[in-house]
Amino acid sequence: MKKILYIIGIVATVAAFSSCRGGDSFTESVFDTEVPVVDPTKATYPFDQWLYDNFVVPYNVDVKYRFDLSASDMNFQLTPADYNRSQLLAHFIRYLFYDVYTKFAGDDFMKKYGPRIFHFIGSSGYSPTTGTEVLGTASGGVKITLYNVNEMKPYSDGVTYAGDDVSVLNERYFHTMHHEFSHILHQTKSYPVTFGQVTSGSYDPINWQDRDSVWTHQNGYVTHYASSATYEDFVETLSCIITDTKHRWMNRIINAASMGVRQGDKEDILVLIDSLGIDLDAPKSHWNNFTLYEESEYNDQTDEYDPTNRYVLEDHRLLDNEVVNKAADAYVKQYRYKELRHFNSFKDDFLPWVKISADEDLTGINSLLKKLDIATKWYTENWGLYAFTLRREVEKRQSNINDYLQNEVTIYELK
Amino acid sequence: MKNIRYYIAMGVALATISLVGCSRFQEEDLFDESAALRIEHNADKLQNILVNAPYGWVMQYYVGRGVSVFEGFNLFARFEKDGKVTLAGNHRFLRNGNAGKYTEYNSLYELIREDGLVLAFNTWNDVLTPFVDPVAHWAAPDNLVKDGEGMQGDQNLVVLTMSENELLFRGERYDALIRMVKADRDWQTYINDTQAMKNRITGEDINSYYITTENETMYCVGLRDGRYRISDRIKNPLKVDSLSCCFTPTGFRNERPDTIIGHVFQEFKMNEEGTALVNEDGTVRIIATWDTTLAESTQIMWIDAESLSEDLKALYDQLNAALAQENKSYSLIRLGIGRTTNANNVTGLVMEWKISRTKRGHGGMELGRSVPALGQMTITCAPDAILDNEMKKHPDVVISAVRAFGAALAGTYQMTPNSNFVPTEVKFQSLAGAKTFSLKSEIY
Repeated sequence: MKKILYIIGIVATVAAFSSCRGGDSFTESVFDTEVPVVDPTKATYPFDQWLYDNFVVPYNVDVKYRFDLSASDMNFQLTPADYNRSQLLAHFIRYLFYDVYTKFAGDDFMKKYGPRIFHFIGSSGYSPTTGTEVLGTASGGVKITLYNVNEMKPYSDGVTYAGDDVSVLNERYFHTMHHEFSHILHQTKSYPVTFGQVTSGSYDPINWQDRDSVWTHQNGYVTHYASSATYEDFVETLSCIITDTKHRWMNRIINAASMGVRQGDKEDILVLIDSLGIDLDAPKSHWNNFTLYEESEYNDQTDEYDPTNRYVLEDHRLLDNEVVNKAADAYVKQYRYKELRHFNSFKDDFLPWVKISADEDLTGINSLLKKLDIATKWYTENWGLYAFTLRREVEKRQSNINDYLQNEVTIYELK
Repeated sequence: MKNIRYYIAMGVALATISLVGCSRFQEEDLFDESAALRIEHNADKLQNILVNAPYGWVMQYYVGRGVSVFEGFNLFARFEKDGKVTLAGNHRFLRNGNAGKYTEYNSLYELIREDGLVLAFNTWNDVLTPFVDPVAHWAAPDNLVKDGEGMQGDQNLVVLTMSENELLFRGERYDALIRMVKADRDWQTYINDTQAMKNRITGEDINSYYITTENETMYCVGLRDGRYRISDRIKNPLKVDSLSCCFTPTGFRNERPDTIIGHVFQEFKMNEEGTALVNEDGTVRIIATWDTTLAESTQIMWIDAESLSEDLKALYDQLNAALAQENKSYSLIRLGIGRTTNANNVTGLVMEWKISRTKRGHGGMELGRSVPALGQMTITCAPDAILDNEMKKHPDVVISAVRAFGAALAGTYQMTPNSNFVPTEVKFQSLAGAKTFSLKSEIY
């Protein structure tokens, strides 16, 4: 009896361990390994396949053109991107962004440093409290979110992109992309502290949006958003070099230099203009036919206009704000403008007219030049990239954009 | 020693048996499957339900949270297996010049497995996404006001319940309850049938209603604009609660259920007799405040001479005779109640009389009208009731006959309409006697 009990105990133990071990021998995966990576049964198959061939295979990038609420910024109410515009933007990203960096930095550059995810959002990220709108964000060097995709000019056969259309593309999307990608780069290799010291006293992360372009440029910033923080200033500077139009750059330079320059700045301005690929002798160019105005602002205590000590261009003069007058019984113009001088040539008329000053408080073009120098050197020394070379390549590609659209782009309709 | 071995062997055996028992997971679970598997199977089930709808789906779509600012919207959806969805609608927020016009738009959808199952419309759709777009509600493409929230619509819908014919969702961000029911007719027919019902129960003059239960009457002081507003009284209400609603071919349905004296209601359908809208269990009825509307309306409803009781008919004939006495070519064409169309118009008794073969006269005398109780009207006629200019031109014999008819009309009546919403004929029966007459919206 006792032997029987011993045997029962041993048998039970063996049986138990046997059952724990299991005994299945799998011959094949439980998953269907024959399923293709891109699902051919989906309505979006042709575009998905294009994305796979152009982003997943070469760069391991996921282009999320479908709105993903959980991956979006819940501070904003957002809409999905339009399917057709998403296709267009994806092509532009390949043509005007990836291919440009790859051409000058090699095949591995974007594989290594490029974002892993693009997320397209249809609307902007509007903030009702500040009146600002977010056009793009970069998250931890991994994801770039591009907003406002639905404002892109849609493309279909026969549609062409004029210069203004390309400017809008630059302003709304490619400026944002280079801005965000520059964030990824400086999050990988930090930029010199000296950059932030050039205009260290005037960054304002709260009220930057209240600054106008004249203030921005005359205080040494490329854009008003650049004046919000040093890291935004840094990437805005690089992005403006790569994507801003000649017109915007010349306005910026004239604004920044009009109140005076330091010794040596005039020569550096000419070098900058040359680097930007701007032809100073170009016929009918606005920089050889412009007027500066003296600005004065309404004072509701005295009912008079006080000088603001700013010279402004025609573009700014057309901004026509009104304020309540001293008697509070009518609106009056906030600013008045008096013609200061007309210039027929930037190089031969304007630059000689600009005063050379030793005033330590004078920032403007001098600060701008210093920051451009620091940023472009960092770009070259750390990444082997020449920002002005990228600019020329982007310009060249943009000038060929209609050929590219016609020959390389297919927009697949959902039928 | 042997005892020790014995106990060791027994112990090993018992422990082993208990371990084997644990490893078999034979206890009964509340659910048959893991959470992940359940949601996966639910997704498959929902996918099948969505695509197996010959006429697609009617989506009763709402925006915002809290007090309703906007109406409910009837949208239509057809889902394909390949991830495409066709949405359609004719709402007033369609863009590109399509406001109010029937529009279809193709985009993509996806069933997302989050904490629960989510139906996501994740590319732009002209029909749905304007509700989500972060612009002011009145914004048109050319006049955007970017206030950051737009109409507070949702494009990600969390599945609450699902069955073959009905799906209920909650907007993931703003919590509106959105319902989809399998369409039983083509979309344009559904739109037409719904509009026909809306026309039947609302109108220019019809926009307030009695909500009645066995013991209680409340009021709905608005429905026409797709917002059901329940109130304690029709005029100067102390409190108004508002619920967005969608009109249906059979009535209307609110976004959320509500209660009145313990009776739950959400959807109202026209009853078989066509006399009232009733809730799901028949305990709450809605009819229009047609009696108040009739008492306050300036539109003329005409007295059917054939319907007059004897005393009124005698006075009617006297008036006709007085007109002939005034001028032998004159005769009474019709009497009505409403507002005269003359320069110094009055609201009350309206008289039209024949002047010649091609010319007719039109004048009136003021009468008072009020509603003392549901379905009743009190008519008052002062001895010196105001006459309009045209009426004043008549000689005393005619004016006396008009005043006599008005005085006879005075009294309180029980009214019987041919519709409880937009009546075109109402029978009056005096509460105090045998006086009867009928008003018709059109006569002759």
